[in-house]
Amino acid sequence: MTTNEFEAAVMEHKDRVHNYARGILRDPEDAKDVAQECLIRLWRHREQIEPGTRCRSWLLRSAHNLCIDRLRRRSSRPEVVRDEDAADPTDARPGPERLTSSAEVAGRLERALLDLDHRDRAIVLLREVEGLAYEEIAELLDLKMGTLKATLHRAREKLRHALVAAEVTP
Amino acid sequence: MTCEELRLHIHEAQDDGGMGALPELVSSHLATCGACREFRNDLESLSHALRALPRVPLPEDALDAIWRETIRARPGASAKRAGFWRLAAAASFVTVLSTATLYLVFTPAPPPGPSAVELARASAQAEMVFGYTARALAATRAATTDRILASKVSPAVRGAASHPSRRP
Repeated sequence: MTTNEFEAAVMEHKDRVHNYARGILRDPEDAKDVAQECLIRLWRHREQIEPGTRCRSWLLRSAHNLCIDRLRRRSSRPEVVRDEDAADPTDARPGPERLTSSAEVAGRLERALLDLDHRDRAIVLLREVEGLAYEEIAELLDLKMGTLKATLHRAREKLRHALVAAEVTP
Repeated sequence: MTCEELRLHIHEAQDDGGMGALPELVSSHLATCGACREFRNDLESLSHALRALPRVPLPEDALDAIWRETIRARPGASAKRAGFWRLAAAASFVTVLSTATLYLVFTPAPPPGPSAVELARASAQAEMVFGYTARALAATRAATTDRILASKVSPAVRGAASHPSRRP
């Protein structure tokens, strides 16, 4: 990977990596650190990346591993939401006049995502948000295809139920 | 086909890229089952909502840190800096050398020293002066001695003193 290719890759993927880390970690500071470290790792490993190859999968895998490391470090304490964008968890009974804007739907959805196991959350984000192919996700998360699909279906169901329970039509 | 089995097909249809082309079996079930239709609509909307989640751009300070740690820190950049300093040192050296050369060229030369012939002549003159002086001193001394002897010493002693070789 040349210097120009590295610069282009950073500009193309920086927000993707950042948002993926935010989705998994739910902590803006941690997500920023992970994105930064991930892109610096890309530079350090640039010799191993063939020129002209797209490095989206490489970056997301790296971001995922960094996120898992952070979650393991956090595992001794409960997961704390510091995301300013997340909805207020006490506000669980919206009236029909509420939750009509897309921002409110997004807030509920983010809360529902947070309730998922981090592996399920990763699968949903990689498939539904980042649009990765199943093969890429299976390789990235080291899962069998059957397990991956079953997990995704189950995660979708949980999200759907969470939104329906909150009287939000997704 | 039960609703449970059918919903698996709906998931798979979504996995394959959308609900556009559902199998005939699924389509016919959906036509008669409101719950499964709702399920399909929910799943489709969920997918759209997930894709529409707000994207937060990476903060500028993080991007700056990335550039600082990567391309701005690369060896080429430091070589460029080193090249600049080498150039500056060379320019300083040339400036000092030029100033020294100009100083030497435009400063008036000191008067030339005496030539070898002049030195030899001066040396000869000095020798002549010193010889003359020495001879004059010797003559004065002899005359003074003779005068003292003439006034103070007897002629016999004076003769012996005047001719020391004759002393016994």
